Amino acid sequence: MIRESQHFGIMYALLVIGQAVLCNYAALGPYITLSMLPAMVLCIPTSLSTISCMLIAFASGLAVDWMSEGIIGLNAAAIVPVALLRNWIIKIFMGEDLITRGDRFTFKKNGAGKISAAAVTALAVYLALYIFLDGAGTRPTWFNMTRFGVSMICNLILSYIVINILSPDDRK
Amino acid sequence: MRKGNIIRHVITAAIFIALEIAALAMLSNSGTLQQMWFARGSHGFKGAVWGTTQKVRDYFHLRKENDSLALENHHLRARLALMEETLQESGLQTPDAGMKRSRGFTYIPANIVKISNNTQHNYMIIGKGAEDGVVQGAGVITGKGAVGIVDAVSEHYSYARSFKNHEMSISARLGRSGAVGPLSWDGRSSSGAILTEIPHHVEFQPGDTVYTSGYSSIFPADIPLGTAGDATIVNGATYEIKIRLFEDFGALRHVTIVENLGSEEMKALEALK
Repeated sequence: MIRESQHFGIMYALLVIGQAVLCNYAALGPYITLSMLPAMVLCIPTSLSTISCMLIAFASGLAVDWMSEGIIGLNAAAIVPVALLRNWIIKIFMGEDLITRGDRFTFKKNGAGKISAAAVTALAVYLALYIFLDGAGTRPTWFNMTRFGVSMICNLILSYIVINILSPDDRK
Repeated sequence: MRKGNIIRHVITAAIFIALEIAALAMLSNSGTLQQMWFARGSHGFKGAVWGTTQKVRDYFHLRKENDSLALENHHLRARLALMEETLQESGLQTPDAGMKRSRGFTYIPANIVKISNNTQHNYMIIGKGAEDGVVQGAGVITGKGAVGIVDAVSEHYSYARSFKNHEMSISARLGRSGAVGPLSWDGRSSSGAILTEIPHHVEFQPGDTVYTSGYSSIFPADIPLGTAGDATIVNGATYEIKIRLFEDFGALRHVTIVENLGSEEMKALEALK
């Protein structure tokens, strides 16, 4: 159990660094915002409380902002609401049992459909806030909508990879 | 258990708000665009809050404002009367010198403390009495009409018969220099009155303004009372004209009590004859 949480912590920290690298070097144009943070927050063990989850999310958002030389506070402001809603998202799409048992979700146990629905919801909250705060009321609605749609598709694929890393299927 | 849940939710919400405020504060300090955006939003919010509080404050100051306006109105009315008197005495013409002017009146501003509007014998209690110089028989007026006559006076209050009373009529003139007749309440509506005894040969149009005639010893001349409406011929000799009053008795609050300084002399002269 301890080894498992240590493994999760190391992988999580590496992904935070990976996210900073993505922010600095993966410039895919104005319409695409790549972020692994929503999927990472979704994978934080359910045994941890919402408060702990929010603090981890805030720290990781701030770390990404700081390492990527972007606008400090942007990722932190967008990711904390995802952490607040994490338990609710898991309850809705994967059932309350998962939280009661303190278990983690995997593609094999819960199915791609449920995990995709949860990832889409978390991404929607994150992207809506990120794009809204980044634009600061200066960009037209059509631009924000397009950015939201395109980023959602790209990030959903990225989320599958992140979930597979942080919540791998048990190997027998 | 339930109480514990509530406390946990409150703590979670408080931490969430604190983290978001911290993140947004950092955001507004590091991004120029965001800084301007937040400043604009904050100014808009402050403007809306201040605007609303100012509106609420203004609303609660309306009564004070009304009182001060009524007092100012009273001073202006008194100055106007004095000026007209001086002009007439010095032989100069006033702008509407063709009309009979009211002279020798005193004006006392007052508030109505109680009023009845829904009976056939309506009255009002005015918050000024003998101590303020109010005498029995004085008129009660506003800028929109003659509204009553003082019937009884105590030390601090006066009882006035309302114009909306069957026992009351006012001498009124149709137009600035038209025929004169008694104007009384129609007994039905709040703003309806009837002007009677207008000779058949007098020409008038619906919409003509009706003023106090100045022929009574109670009210000064030329106070606008209402506008003429439909007319009917009575006994083939005189008109009975429906009048729509300017004054809204339902919203009546500030009045002016007028006393004709020459009324006693006039009464004494009438008694001699």
